[in-house]
Amino acid sequence: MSKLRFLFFTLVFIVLGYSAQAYYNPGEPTGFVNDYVNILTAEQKTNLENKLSQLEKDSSNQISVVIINSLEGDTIENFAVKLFADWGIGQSKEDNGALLLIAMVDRQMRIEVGYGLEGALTDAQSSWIICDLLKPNFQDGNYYQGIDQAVDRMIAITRGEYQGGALERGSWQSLDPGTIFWFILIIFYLLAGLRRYFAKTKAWWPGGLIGLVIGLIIALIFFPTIYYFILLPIILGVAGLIFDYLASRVLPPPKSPRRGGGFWFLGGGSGLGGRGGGGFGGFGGGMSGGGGASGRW
Amino acid sequence: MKKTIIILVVIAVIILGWLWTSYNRLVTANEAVDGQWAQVETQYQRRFDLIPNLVESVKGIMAQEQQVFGDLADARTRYSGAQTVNEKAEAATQVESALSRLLVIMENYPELRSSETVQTLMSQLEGTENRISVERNRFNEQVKAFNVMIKRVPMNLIAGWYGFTEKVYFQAVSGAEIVPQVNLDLTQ
Repeated sequence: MSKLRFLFFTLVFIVLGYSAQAYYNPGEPTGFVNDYVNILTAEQKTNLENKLSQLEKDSSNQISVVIINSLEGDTIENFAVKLFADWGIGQSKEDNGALLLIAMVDRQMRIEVGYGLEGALTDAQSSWIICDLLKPNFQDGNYYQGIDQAVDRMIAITRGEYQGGALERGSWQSLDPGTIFWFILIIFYLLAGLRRYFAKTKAWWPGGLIGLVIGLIIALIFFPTIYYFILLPIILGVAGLIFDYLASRVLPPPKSPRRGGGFWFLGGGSGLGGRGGGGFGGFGGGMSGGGGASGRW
Repeated sequence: MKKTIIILVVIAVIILGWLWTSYNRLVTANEAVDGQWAQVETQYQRRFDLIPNLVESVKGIMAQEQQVFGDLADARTRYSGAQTVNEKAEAATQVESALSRLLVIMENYPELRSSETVQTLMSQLEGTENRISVERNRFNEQVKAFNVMIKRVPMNLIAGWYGFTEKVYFQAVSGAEIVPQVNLDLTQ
């Protein structure tokens, strides 16, 4: 009845509050499979890695297998949830990640399930995977077989939950060169217009004021913290002053804008996108909330 | 003269902007705490949905242990009647202690061990208890972040004007011993 006893201790643990805080980050993930104890051969690791990256390609679900030496006195539940959050397993909006954590010295394992997969990979399912597949194999010393079977089962269970979610990375990375080019072009036009306006007067302070106001607006909309609030207006204000000074006193008066012409090089350019196929592209920032199951062997 | 006016306007805009963004940050942090408490309550509800199933499947065998079942039922009633966060936390702690007593008593009934239903219920309960502890821990972290925010200079000056006051940590109360769960983890 180790399960009962375990649950009892979990309860006691909750009642007394988390006091153990021995979690440590084992390092940056190098793939879906992170074996810090080297119990898997290179071939076994590649095999698992292939399965898991195929799963990610098909469904955007991310399953990670992590084998560590010791929990250093922490509970496996705490360790798993912290590691899950540190690495962000799963896509950030779907939280469709799962973590199989194995601690060799402590002889404990846990399946930690992201919020988005809790419906498919339930606590009971996780517990059966641990009791039926991992535990007996581990007790016989067949670590790879246990992990392989558990991963197969987890893939089969989670495949139905999220289908064909396109792999999207962070929004800034998905800015293609075409967009950036247009952005620069618009700024260029704005500056040209401003220069025409500033050049009309000999005064060089309105540029500073406009820069200041633009800085304030940008800070308000995008970076509402006090640091940007001071920094951005100052930087843009000084830049505006310099720009106005140049436009008013130094540069020759601008010609009237030329219509048409130029910009033949604008065609195409937005053909970037799609990551190189296969392989590990980092985790997506998913979260978990303590779902899953734990066990010992 | 004109320049002084411009300078004064700029200073006024900066101060107003700071008040504006500070208020928004306080609202965000406040909502984060409330949202996290909602997460805790979701998990409590999940636990309450599981308990009757567990009780149902062990009741027949544990016929003499009416006391603990009564305690569990009492605590559940109290939780559903609770209005404030503190009352709810207190009632939930009662449920916990009744539940852990039930589990201790269950140790004495070996025939329950072989029951597949009980085993499955146990793993679900286990998962739920762990979820509760995770969400509660995060609740305390959010509370800590909020409290630090409103206590630091210069935010402490304006938090009062806006009516934001310090939030209470979730403290587990178990019988006579009271262990205040103040999160002192400074490593993060």
